Amino acid sequence: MTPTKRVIGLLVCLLAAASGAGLVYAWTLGLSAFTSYSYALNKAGPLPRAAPDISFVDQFGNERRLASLRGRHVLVHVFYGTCLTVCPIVIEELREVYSDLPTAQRRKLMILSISVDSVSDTTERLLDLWREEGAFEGWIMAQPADTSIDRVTKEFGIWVFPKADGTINHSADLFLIDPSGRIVRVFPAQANNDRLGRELEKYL
Amino acid sequence: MKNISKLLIVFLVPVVLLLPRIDAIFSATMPRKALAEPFLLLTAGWALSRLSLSRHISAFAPSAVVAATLLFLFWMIPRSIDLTQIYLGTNVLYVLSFFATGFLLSRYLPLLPGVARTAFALYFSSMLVALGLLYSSQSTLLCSAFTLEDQHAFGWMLVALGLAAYLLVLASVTTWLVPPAGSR
Repeated sequence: MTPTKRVIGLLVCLLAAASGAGLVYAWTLGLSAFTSYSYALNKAGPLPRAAPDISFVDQFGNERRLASLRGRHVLVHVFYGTCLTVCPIVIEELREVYSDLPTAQRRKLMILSISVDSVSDTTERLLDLWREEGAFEGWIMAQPADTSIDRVTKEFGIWVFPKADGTINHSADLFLIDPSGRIVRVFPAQANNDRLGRELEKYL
Repeated sequence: MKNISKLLIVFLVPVVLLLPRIDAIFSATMPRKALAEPFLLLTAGWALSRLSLSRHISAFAPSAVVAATLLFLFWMIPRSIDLTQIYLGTNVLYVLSFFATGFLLSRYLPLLPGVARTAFALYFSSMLVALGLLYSSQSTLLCSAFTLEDQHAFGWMLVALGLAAYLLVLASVTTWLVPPAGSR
């Protein structure tokens, strides 16, 4: 092999390594997002950021806007009623944390559970679920009202993947919105109940 | 003529894997999609390199091995695997990448010096074990297209494969380094 060929080979090797590393770096948003969940969350932007003013239909069939809840803290998450894995755990966790909050603090917090299943989670089903979970005045179980779930998921930074078997894999993060309408904290899914309660109390 | 028919069979592997019915079978579980399918494609790529008559340029051997490794790494990222389940184009890239990886490794790895080959093999098998441990130990779902059980099964299979490859490399290096009985 001639020295020229050797140098060209080395340069091509460096170029291949640099372009490959660059591609992986860009693909993972600077090595910070290796999963679809973390990618969606990081892509939505750093915290704090303004929460999107989404419209939704609550468990009573009323169309409302997220902006109408300003003045209170709002904990937003997505779920679907027929889920047998993460959603029941998150809903149960929220019920426990919410019911354990002192009344004065509970008045400052609302929970907005948005369904990602537009077919099965009808208003009636959401109302039934709301009753099962304690019928708290400050807990809204809703369907997105306008267009689709896409805007909600994109602007919050939630990944939703409907599978062929009918189940829906989705981010189970909890988004805390402050009274001025900014997302100030994202709690990871299946956090410890006591810890979530303590963290929430700091904000209320 | 015989070679042409063999070439056709080799090229048929990626095409068949992209057929919706076949793809559905491989996409059903994570071990099938991220282990069995790449294995088939790597083998097809290897077969292609044995059959093709084109000249290889040894100066590009390190680049080809680096490119093949990076392609492999890219498709082990959970988000990359997820997207193969959503977009047909990404799935095509996935299939072609592993096919090309098999071809490049088989064609250019033997051109590297023995020490470089051994270092690469040890690095590659260690990478498989590390990736396997990552996938098997996580209690959260990394690939949204599959289940947690799938993910753990895939992780343990990667660990087993990586360890087997590592031991194989060590055994061949030992055989290579130890002089035959009777020699000085």
